[in-house]
Amino acid sequence: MKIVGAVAIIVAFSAIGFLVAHHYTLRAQQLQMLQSAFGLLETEICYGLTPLPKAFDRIGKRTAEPLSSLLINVGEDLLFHRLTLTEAWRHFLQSLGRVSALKKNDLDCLWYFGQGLGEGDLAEEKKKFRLLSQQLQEQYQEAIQERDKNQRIWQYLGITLGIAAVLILI
Amino acid sequence: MTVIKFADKPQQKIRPTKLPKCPLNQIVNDFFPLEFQSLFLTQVQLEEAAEIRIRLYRPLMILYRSGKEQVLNVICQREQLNYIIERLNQSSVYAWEEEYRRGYITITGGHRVGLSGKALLEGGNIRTMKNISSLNFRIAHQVLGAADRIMPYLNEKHRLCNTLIAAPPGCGKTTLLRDIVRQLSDGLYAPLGSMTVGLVDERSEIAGSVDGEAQLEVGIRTDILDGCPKSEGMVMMIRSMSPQVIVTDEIGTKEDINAISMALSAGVKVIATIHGSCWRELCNRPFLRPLLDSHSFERIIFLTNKERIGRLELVMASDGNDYTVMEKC
Repeated sequence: MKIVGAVAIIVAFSAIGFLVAHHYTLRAQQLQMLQSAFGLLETEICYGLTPLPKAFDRIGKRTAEPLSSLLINVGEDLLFHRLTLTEAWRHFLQSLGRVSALKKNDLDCLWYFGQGLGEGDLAEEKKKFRLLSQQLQEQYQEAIQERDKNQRIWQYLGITLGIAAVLILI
Repeated sequence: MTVIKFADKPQQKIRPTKLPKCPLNQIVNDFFPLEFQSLFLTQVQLEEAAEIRIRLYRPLMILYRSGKEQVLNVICQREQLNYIIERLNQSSVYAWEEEYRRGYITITGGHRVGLSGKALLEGGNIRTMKNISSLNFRIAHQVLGAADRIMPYLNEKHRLCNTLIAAPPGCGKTTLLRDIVRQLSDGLYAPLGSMTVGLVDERSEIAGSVDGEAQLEVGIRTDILDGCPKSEGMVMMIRSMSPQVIVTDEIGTKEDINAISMALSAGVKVIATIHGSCWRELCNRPFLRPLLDSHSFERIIFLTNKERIGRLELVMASDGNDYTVMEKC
């Protein structure tokens, strides 16, 4: 019985450790996903000259969840719910913050990008996209470093703490 | 063995899918801020409106088709104007550069919104427009049957005549042209039968296309080349879509006239409109003279807006040597 309990404690602690570690992997993955989604948006805007509502709808259909439905929502907010882009963008970032592993810094990049999106001519839009992709790349690098640094630590920490707890309890 | 039979004429009339109808109050709902919407509901007879004019820090004005003007008791502020503009361009200025350059946006229903503000130049040409201060919603009214009176003049021994429609602006040239296209394309005027129509619609006025979809009824055998310069468009149409008739609006430049000559020599019929109120004015148009001298246009129709818009004033017919008056109203 004791052994079963001890194993359960170790498993529980390691699971928490792995969960936290996984969070770091998720952030990097999601940043990468954002990069490719906004790459698509750039193509739609700068080369297809698609208006924003349709552009968001199209890229939403070509990205994976959880980003997909959020992007489609932006398009719908603009077209059917008659929100201004700033309002629609705020909604988007709030929901993105809730469902993703992104940090405040990452969301801030996106927030500034959304300010004045669609207000300039093609050259200005291209500049905005270049800036965003640069920023997302930096965030991604940082996320990778952080992941490499912290992932193992949290995994080992989980297991070690589990074992320590068992030892103390025994 | 199955035998496939081809019917000479369609047994029953095939109607195309109904075009998306855009009721006028939808324009108000879609584009105007709430405080304007209630005003429109209570004070404006939208069905009769011809123009809705919105100017920054000035009252809203409605111009009716009867010529009456109504000044609404509300001043358009910057944020309200910006709201309307953002709704019009769907928060995407970059997507409408060409439209800004031309000074108008066509919206669902074929209505056109004229824009004016500060023009930004690049090398002497307008690049785009900024700080828009005036909007003019021009309501498109399709008059089905507007060409009923004209059609008999276009027919000579069951053959369509090359026709030029001349009138000053605001006399209903485009409305008439649209209905001619519809009647030819649907085969509504029996002596001429149905024809394949190539519509070169440089300013999206005839078919009122939005995203390449015609918003006004132009018939089932009509191919539309939207937003394309007339001269190039006519040549493209002849090469690619083999039309029996080419229809275009407001010709005038040398290139247009050359393209028309080319179409005529390719055996394609041409129906076009031009600005001008009398024979002398047409003769004074610099590039048109050769076409008139060679009697390329078999019919020249003059319209007027006296008494009512689109009234037929004069029809001239050519017998190959001379233009004679066919009908004078």
